[in-house]
Amino acid sequence: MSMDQDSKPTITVERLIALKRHEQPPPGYFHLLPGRIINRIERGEGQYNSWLKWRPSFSARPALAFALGLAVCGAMTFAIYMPLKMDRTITTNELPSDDRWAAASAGAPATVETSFGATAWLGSTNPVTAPQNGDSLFDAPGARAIPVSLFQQE
Amino acid sequence: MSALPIQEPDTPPEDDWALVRRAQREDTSAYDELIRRYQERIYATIYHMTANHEDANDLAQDAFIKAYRALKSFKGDSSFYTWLYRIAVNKTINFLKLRKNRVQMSLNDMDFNAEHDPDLVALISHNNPRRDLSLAELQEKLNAAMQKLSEDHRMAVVLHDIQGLTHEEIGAIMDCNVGTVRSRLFYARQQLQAYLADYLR
Repeated sequence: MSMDQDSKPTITVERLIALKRHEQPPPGYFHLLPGRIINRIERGEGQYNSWLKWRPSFSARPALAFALGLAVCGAMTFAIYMPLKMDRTITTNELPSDDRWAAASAGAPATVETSFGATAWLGSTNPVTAPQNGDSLFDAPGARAIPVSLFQQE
Repeated sequence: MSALPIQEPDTPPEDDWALVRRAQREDTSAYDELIRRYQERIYATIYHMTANHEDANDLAQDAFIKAYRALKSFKGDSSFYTWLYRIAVNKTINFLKLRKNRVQMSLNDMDFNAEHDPDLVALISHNNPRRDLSLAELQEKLNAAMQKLSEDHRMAVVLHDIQGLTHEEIGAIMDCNVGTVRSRLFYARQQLQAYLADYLR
């Protein structure tokens, strides 16, 4: 069956649709419309705005907005946790085995190489695991503790 | 908005182009004239797509403002008329996609001439199986049927059967070929025929 044959019964539909030409906006509407548009133009409406350009896309496609939001959250999470993870990696590498801990406790200088090849004191702010260079003050020969009092002694 | 012309705008294209050139230099009085020339057609197209005066008013204003802002990029490859229509059509289709779940019908009264339109009289008085069908009811049924069509099919019907544009013009506006326009029209009319079967011969 051809399209022409099929379209014969729809002639009435076309005539019915054509009647919609009679639908009218409120009286005087077209007299006022140009002025309203020009006023809005002169107020600077519709100026280019990159966010406004994207907003309809986000509204029309929520999946796009969701994907973008997810990507931003992922990037932020990465930005926040990656330095912490790096710090933890350094700390883990520094955490001495029992022997190393013992040596550190004994005052032996401990320069721990990180996985990045930097010395620990560059990558860590942990005062416990950060190595102390030089001899311990407490191990100096003849050193003794001197009691200190904040109160004046009579 | 009654009996929109079937053919191209009466104004010669060169006049449009002269106004466009002035409007591109931010001469708002020239743009005001362009608005006055095309406001009825743009409004009517949007109104028949949305079936709501307030939405049509907002979208028509937005379309003209967007066209003004984009006017500097208009090189005259197509007529201003086609270019403006394309902006309005895209804006309307985007709006309708957003509004999908918000079914709203605010029908305006038909003008006085409608009551004397021979087609309408025939439909209501003689050819309609439901002879007591009122004008308003018929209009409501027709609009409801139109709203059931997809945006692309409805736009083809509005531009061709209401606005009286040619298939070629519709193809240029909707960015598709003439075959697609014909196919959409054919399918849309069939759908409307099915929806309105009770009210037609």
